Amino acid sequence: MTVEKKNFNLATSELTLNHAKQLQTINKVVLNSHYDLKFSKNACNDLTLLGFFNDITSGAITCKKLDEKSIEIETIAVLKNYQNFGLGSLLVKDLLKNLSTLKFQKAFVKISKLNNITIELFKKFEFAVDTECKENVERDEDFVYLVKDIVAEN
Amino acid sequence: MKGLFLSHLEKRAEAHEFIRKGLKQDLTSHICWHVYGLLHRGEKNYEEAIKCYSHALKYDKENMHIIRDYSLLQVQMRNFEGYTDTRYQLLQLKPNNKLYWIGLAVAHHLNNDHASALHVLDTFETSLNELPVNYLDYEHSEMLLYKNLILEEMGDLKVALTHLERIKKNVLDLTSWKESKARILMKLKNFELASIIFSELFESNSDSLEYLKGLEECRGLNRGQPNENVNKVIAFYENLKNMYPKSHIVQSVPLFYTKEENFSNALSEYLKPSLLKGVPSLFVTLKDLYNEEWRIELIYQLLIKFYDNLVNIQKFEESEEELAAPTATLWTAYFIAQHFDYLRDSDKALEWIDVAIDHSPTLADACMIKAKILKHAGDKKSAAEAMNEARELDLQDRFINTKCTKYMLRNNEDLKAKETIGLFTKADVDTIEDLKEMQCMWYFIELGKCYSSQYNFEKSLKTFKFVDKVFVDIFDDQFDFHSYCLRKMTLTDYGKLLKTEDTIKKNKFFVKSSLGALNCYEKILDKKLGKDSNIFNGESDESKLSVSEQKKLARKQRKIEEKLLKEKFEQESKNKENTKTNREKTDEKKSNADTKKIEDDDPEGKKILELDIDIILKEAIKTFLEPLLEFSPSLIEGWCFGIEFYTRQEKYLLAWKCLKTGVKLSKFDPEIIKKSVKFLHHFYENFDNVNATVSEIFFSELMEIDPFELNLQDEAKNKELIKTTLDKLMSKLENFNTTLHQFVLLELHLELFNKDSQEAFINFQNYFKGKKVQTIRGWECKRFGWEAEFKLNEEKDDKIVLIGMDMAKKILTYIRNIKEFDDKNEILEFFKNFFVKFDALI
Repeated sequence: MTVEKKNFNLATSELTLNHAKQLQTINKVVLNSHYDLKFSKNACNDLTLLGFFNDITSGAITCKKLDEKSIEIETIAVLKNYQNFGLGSLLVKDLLKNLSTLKFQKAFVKISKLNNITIELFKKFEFAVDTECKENVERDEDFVYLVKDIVAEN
Repeated sequence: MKGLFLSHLEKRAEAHEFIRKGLKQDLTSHICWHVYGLLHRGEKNYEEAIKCYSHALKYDKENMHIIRDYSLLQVQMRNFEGYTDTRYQLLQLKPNNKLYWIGLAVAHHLNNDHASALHVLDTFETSLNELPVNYLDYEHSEMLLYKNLILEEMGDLKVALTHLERIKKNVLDLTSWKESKARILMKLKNFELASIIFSELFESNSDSLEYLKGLEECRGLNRGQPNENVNKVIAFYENLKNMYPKSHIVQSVPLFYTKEENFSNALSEYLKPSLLKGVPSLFVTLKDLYNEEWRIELIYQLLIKFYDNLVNIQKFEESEEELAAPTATLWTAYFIAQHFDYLRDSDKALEWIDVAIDHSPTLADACMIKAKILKHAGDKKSAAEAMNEARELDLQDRFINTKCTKYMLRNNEDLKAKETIGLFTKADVDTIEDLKEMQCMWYFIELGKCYSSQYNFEKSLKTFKFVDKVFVDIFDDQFDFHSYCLRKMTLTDYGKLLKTEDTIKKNKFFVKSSLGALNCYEKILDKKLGKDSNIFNGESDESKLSVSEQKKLARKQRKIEEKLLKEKFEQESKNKENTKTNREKTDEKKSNADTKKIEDDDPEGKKILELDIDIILKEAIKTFLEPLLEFSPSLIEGWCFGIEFYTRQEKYLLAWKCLKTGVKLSKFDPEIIKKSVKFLHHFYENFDNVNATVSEIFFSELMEIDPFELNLQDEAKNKELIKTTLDKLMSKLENFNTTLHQFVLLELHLELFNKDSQEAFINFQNYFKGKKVQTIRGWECKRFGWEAEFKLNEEKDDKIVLIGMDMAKKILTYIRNIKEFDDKNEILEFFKNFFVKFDALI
């Protein structure tokens, strides 16, 4: 659900080294993740976005490059108090936009089966259940695997 | 000539030698004298330079160059009479040069001779051959405004006003013109017209408090007594609000007038948009409202209501239709935290800032406030850590970086601080060198304080002296403006510049560095006198560490240094790579390396220990104490140092004068009592060496003024009077129920009457028995501390003592360092338990 009001100002921007700590903080608080600062620093590229709500950093999305054509979304997180305002959607939307400019063709994501909200979020952006299974990779029963073909922008 | 060249080649001594040689050849050579003057001027030795120039002029009376340089030196030395004469001479030599006319007028003006200045300008104007009526030229316009200023200062306001109207068509700087007009009209009490001008000015800058005050005054609204015509004021502001909806001050100023019954509504209207938008500085703009109890209460109630509503229904108030953004909750908690911090309730402030941080852990501002609260609570270590967290959240924010450096210095981490500030200084220059180049005074003041708290007073003093040097430089820098301003005709501002330069030492940086430096001088002098200052300097704290611990400490320190060096090396090699391609840059680096070669031969500042006590005293008084007392007479600390240093110099009457002035500022300030007792003690001990007239004056003044209200009328005027005064003052101190007074009492016993130490400690302990401890904003602001405690005791509860971490630490150090006596361990245990809250230091 996107709420649009005059005092609600959503935006995203690419992560820079100077704000790596903010990404770490968000992932730690929301995902209870063990990623260290090095992870955040490595994530400083075109594929990582910070989300802002009224200029306050309140969400983040990070990706891992699988090969030249495809990426996997590693984390997506929005601070508890800023959820349900459409920031997650905006993060995915802007990321997809970036990916298409960078000529990526496929985006993968692996989500826990219990995490319905996130699954719904990605499905909204036409992510579909990935039926193909890569060789030698055993899939975890507890997770859903989604994939989206990205249409290149002209 | 060779001398002149040499001086530019940094060979000062040789330069002097050669010029003197030249002079020996021909003492009547004006060229030689001129060159010698130039040399002195280059070395900023203006007094000598003036002498040389006057010699040069003796032998060549009409040399324009020499006269002009001479006049510049005179104004630099503020010899306005001489300056006027010289300027007159210049004008006579070249009457057709506009510059010399103006110069003479300025000289007369500076010499407070307005009439002559005006006369010169008039003559000059008539000599200008008929300018076109609408002649517009910036320099001409400045000249006219300057003339108007002279007219205004002469006091004939009506003439000034007519003149102002007449010159309007030739003036380019209309804002200044309007400001002058409004000012003159106000002085003439023509409020109606002034109000129109102020409206125009306010229109052009609707956030200017100055214009707003002008407008208020024109309407007869007195800020001092807001109760008289509240409705009128409110109506006035309502009107302004409609006219300038974007102006912030128009919104915030009426809150100061609003009465209790309407306050909540007005405040709510003001706060909501800011809380929604997220204005980190919101609290600062409203801080001034905290001067009334009822306002504080209403502000708190309103904010708590907002917070509860926001958490429960996502709105400020139930009646609202729209949902508020989640950031509103954050900023409300952020405000409440600052509210409690301002009221010195650190525990509650911390609770609330944690609410804000939990809500949005990525907000660096919230972490900064947390650091600030911790600092106020006296916990420097945690404060520095919190500030570092804020810094890490936003590495590109120079402000946070700077704050963080400051907090680290407060926490005695000078190496870490240097590293932090180094992130923002030039990469290819040494951090400290760059900071010096940029005249970064706050850093050196904090660094000086940091060294002081590490008991390295020599190094600390050296650091503070650098700040003084910056002020000397600032004063020297005006030299170029003496000719530049005349040439560019920016005369009004030139006058302001001279005034600023004259009082430059009012600046808070100078005040801070002076206080720091004087403290160092005091400690250094004690050291030289061989006073057993171990009790007070805490050094033995370190020496009490076992040998292995000491080694550990040293190793740790070395490791940090090695790490820093390594990093520096890496950085430098990186820089080298970067600059390889750019030859120019490498050249620049070379020259940098050259300047670096002039190494400091006394980096620790230890040389001062070799000087005589008299010389040190003189230096301290001349460089720091005198300007401090002259330019910051309302500062009680300055007078305290005055008593201290003049007593040491045995200039008892000067010390007595400082005492009188200081007591007038704050009668029972513990610090001033302490210094007074020391002064009396010293005077008593050395009474036999004191000149009889001095003691005579002292006695009669002491009895007449009786600054401490000790009832001395009936005493005889002899040596014993001092002793009586001393005893009475001490017992007065004993009866003063604040921690700081009791602490000062203890210090005095230890310092002056060492024999009573055991008793003094037991008395000190008795003061604390049966009381509860409460933390207070950093004990460094001592004066605030005792006044707050005094108020607390008077009003509510004399079972509470306010204490800061610094204070607690000092008390424990004292007890540890004092020589053994019967109950020492027991007392130490008592205080340890008493300060259990500060477990970090026990």
